[in-house]
Amino acid sequence: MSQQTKSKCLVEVKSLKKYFPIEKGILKKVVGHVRAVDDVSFKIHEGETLGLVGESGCGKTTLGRCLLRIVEPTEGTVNFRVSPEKTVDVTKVDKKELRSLYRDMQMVFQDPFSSLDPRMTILDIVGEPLKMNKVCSGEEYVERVKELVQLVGLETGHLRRYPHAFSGGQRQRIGIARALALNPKFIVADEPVSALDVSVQAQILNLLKQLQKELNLAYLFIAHDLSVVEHISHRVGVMYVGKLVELASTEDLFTKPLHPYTEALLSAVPRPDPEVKASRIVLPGEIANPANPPSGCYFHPRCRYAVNQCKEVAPKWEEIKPGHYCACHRAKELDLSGVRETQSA
Amino acid sequence: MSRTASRLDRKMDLLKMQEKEGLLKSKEGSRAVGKFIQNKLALIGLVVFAVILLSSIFAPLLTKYDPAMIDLRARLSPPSWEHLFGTDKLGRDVFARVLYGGRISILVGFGGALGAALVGVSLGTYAGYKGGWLDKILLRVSEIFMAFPQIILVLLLVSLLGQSLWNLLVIFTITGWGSVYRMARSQMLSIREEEYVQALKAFGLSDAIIAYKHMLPNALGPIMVNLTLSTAMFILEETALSFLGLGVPLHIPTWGNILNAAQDLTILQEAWWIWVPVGLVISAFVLSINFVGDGLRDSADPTQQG
Repeated sequence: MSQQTKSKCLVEVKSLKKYFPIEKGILKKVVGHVRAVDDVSFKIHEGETLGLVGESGCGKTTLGRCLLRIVEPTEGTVNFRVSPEKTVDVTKVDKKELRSLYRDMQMVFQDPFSSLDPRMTILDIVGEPLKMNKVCSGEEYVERVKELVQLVGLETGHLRRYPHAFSGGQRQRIGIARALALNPKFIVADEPVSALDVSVQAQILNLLKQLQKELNLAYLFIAHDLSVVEHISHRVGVMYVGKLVELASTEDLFTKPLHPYTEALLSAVPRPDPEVKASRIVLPGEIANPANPPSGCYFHPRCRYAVNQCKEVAPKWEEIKPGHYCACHRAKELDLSGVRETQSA
Repeated sequence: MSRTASRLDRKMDLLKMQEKEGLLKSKEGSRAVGKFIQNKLALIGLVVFAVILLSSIFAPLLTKYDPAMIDLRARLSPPSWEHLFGTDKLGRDVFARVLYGGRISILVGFGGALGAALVGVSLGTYAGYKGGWLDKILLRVSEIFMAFPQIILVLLLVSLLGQSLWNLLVIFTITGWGSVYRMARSQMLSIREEEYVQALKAFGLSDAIIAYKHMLPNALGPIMVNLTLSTAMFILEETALSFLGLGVPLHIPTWGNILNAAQDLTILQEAWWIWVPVGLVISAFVLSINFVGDGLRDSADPTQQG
């Protein structure tokens, strides 16, 4: 942890928002907004993995895509440090500059079955960014692709095959090789293992970890599986209805959560020990509607610690302890339980 | 038993080694061709298509008759060695007319379909991917063209430019691109949501390259089928327009013009040789194009085994 804070900040997100307008009628009058990402701020350091968890529909994926501007953010800034001297705001750059930015930031996608063009060979899929950015050509191009494919643990003999000939795990490796083609510093991994079965998940996670060590990559690792996130992340952020509710180092978050929502999430992690009696916290009600969120703290209708203040005033995003951020009025007074097993880590 | 197994093992090892060294590259290149040849229907289609096309092109070598030569002594004579398909009301050799007529009909049918597909696909691919106002405008324009009575367009062009083959091609392109456009567009709308398109975007690829190089090949299946079907449609449409005196001038033989003779009830009942062969040729040609189109689609798709 301490070594993480010392390293330099690579990505700095400041009050990022993405509102999708809801249009009605023939005239397309905007009657409201879906607040997919609502005022989110955080930093990612060099060579660090920031895990991002939350229920489905809470805006994790949209947040990830906003960072790369695949989805255009509504407001806020994403400062990306291209070189030690130069930092650019991803949300403001023009098309040409954005293209050169994509050399440094890349994405790995969730579904390995739809994220590869079925009509192209692996050579072309992995090599496309190289060709596009005119990095190399001819012999050198094939060599580089071979290198990439080996890096992610596939055989170079398979270069001329099409994606349908590979298994899910292999396809995800191809997706990773493609993301690595231009030597990025930062990768947004959007649920890269959710579509895979457990044994393959572990392989891919270890591959990502190993690549991080070798290439000093930073990840924004989006997932909904807490044990996956725990395994790979240095720090973890928890999202609820478009907002970050808690952000801390993995150990702190899993052992001493400060937000009631995090506590409830942690209680839902399945434990591989039949002796442990699970004391699950079942949240009442539904996840809030991001088009029409509740007043005050978005979580208050489902929170068992909620007081009157929670219904009226939106909590501030504060650093409660060093490096441990939380948005909850009662963060300082509550004593919430985490997952005990992680203390050894 | 074990000897067979070890032989297969050795073969596999050899294949693996070749693959590793990239020696199989050339074979991969002809993969699509191999798959096409394996497809019996497509191959038959290709042969029939080629036979009809070539015999139209080399018509003078296959028949000694001039398709426009009138021989009143041999009116409505049934098929014989002299006249393979018999003769028509004016004593013109039907076989020669079918051969020469193929030149125009194939050009019009194929050309019209290709022209319409070219315009429709190139617009539909880009607009379907980009969406927005460009797509909205083009969609309305295509609706206008599709709703516009074809016959009026034809009349307009004929009165402006006179009766000719090229007018027909222009008209078929103008009236036909709308449906192709809508088809290409709808394909792109669904492919647009695939994650690999998002991935390509994240590499900073330009819109045109994403749309034409990556998305279009995946949308080509239904478009190909549409192309073959509209070829058939245009051949028949040429018939109708020629009959009205708006298409190809009547003295030039086309498959449509020949069929028109069968509008006469006596010919329909008593001189079958005038309309049966040409009808069969049209059917065979259209069918062969369909088979070839299907075969092309399958062989171009790497996910289809075979």
